[in-house]
Amino acid sequence: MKKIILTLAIAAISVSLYAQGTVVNKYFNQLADNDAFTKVSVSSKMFSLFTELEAGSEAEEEFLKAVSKLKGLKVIASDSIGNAASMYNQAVKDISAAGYEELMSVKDSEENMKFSIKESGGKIEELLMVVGGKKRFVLLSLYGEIDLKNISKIARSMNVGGLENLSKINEGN
Amino acid sequence: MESRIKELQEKYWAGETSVKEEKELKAYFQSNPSLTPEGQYFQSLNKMKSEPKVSFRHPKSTSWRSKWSVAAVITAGVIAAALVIQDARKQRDFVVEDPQEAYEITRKALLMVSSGLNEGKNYSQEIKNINKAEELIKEN
Repeated sequence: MKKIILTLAIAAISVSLYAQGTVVNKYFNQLADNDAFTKVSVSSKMFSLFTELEAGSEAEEEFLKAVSKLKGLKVIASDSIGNAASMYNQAVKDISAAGYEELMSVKDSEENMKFSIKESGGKIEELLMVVGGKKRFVLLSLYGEIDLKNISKIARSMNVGGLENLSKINEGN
Repeated sequence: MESRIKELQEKYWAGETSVKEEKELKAYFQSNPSLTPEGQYFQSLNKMKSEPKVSFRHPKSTSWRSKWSVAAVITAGVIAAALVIQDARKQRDFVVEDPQEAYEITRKALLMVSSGLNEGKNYSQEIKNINKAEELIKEN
């Protein structure tokens, strides 16, 4: 009898754990049939393919470095929905309810943006980014081993790359 | 009374007593304990009645209650499995299979995250600068 109760308890816990899931999976399921949203998922297998590529530039090198430690990427996005702001608010609520820690939020006249993380043993294992504009909504999840420094370098090295090219143009003139 | 009991006893052993008469016999020996074998016999008959019943169960047969719990566990398991499978199927629908496309998407996504993070950093840098400026103003 005890065994059966234990099994029941385990079954109940696993069902409730499943029901919680990650926030992104919840949104994937909710919006599965909604064509207004683009839903994309990239698997770790794909990432391991990328690592075989040779980096051409510094930005690419940073990119490949960041990707090599990732296990998955999921994006849900739409540019043409009316209730983007309320979706953003709901997503922010769902994210904090699911136990994510807020990393930073940026707000300007056009858009709200919030980064949240889930840590395990001092390492970031999931990074969630939510963007809510007037008509734009994006929910992006990166999971695996996430190095924020490394990721933030991607954009910077791209900018540097761009500037370098600009100076080359000037030289050519 | 004694003669009546003797008569009943004879009837009993002959197998001719009614249920009522047997009860009478048992009641008599309960209230008048005697050490004769017959008296002890009727007393023990009474005792047997009040003892808890011992029931035997086949070792392989299980009770209905546990059968129901097993059924409940199996049902819960099936439902959970169905949900997980359905979920996995829905998630799989959106997996990008083309490496080129996946590469582009990943690049764009990481660039978006990266520039978002930098934007936040720039803001905090600006705030730091403002704070520094305020401190300088205060100092002067």
